Amino acid sequence: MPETKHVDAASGDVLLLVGTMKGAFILRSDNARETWDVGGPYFPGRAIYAMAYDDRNGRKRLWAAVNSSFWGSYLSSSDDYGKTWTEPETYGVKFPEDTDSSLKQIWQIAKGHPGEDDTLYCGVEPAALFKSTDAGASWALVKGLYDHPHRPQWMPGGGGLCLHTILLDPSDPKRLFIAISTAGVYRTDDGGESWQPRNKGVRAQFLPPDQRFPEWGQCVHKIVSHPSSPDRLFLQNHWGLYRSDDAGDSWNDVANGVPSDFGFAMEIDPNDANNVFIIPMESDEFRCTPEGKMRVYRTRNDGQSWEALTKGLPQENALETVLRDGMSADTLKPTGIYFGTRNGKLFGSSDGGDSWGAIQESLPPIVCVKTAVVQ
Amino acid sequence: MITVNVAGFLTDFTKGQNRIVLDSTPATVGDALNSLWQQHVGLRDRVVNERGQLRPHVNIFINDENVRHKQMLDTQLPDTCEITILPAVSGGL
Repeated sequence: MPETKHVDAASGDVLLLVGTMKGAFILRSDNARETWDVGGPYFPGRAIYAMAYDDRNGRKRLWAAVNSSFWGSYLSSSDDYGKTWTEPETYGVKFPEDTDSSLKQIWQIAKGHPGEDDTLYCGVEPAALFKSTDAGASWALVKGLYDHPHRPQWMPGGGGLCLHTILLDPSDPKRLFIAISTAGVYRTDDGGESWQPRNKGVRAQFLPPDQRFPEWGQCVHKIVSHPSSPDRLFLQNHWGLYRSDDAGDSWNDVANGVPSDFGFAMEIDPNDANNVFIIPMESDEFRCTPEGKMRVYRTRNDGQSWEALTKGLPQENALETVLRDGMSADTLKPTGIYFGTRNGKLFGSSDGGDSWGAIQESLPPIVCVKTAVVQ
Repeated sequence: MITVNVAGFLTDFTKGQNRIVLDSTPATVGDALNSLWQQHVGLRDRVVNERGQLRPHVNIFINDENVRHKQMLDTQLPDTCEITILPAVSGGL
């Protein structure tokens, strides 16, 4: 077993939380983001599909969704930047007895609305949403979504039937968006009691031509929004790149000048709601960077056009795959943006994507990259 | 007497014990596991899911027989036997 290393973090430091198929890593840098200390591997051998940092109510708590193919899936937390982690006797995220489901994997951990500082959400497979109102000490299934009449007909995508994205509208404490592969985007306006599909204009390439724009059933891979404009969302679909200006009521194609509109990862610039980053993949059959070039695409105008960002990224024989949670941005200025590949390479930019460098090149397959700035 | 053998990671939840003598006389494997959870609750969620089903990459042997080749957790137990819980070769990708 490799030796586990640790990092220390101080106010102003940046953390990268990197989940891989073989454990978690925590990288730390100062605000220059030029060199990185590496902590880990934590949970060696376990797949870590979701990580989060909760700095509300005086906490400095890391979360990791730990998945063992033998022993199941659970949440673990650390209050000392990974030096110690909780190993709960009984798992907290479980389907209740009056359901017929059992947890396969935890795909997402998200903080609650502003002012709900002890609220956490968790998206899981099979597709369901869990909520904690005590900072993760206990969890409850959001029954309004679980009881949705569409649920029995939701179909798994290649990664499984997963609820992989949770977005909050910070201006409306009752509004949340979730994304499920393969069910699409759903929105609640009443705090989770009821949910409506919000997929108008999003195509389902895998259905017959006359059925390609269903009310629900799309394979959405990621959605993002910005706190300053919560009604505007961007969506990376299983074929298709979209923007909504009406909180998901309708979507418009914004795949303008990208080599492929197939992809997984998508991130919005915390410092500019007009800036969105994607990493196109060639196709659903060949889920690698087109032409063997590692390119991030950035729009600075709401998707009206996209530019390839290549400086410092390999442009030959770079057959890489970046998954749906494999890219994340920090909140410093200029924005730091980071992504990890299934080949275990971690790249970063500290100038908003203008130039890039390799941070790590030999990690296990990366499935999750999250950022935090220590306050 | 029913004895349950666990190894490796699972002993983190048995205070380091790898042989646990059950303090009951269970009729089935499922009954034995329920008794085991009473003594070491941390084993439960790791061996079975919330439906009480054996996790897909965990095997349970009664002496030298895999319960997957019998009646799973409904398999009847003799009065005296050894139950062994092991990770399966199929896991660990």
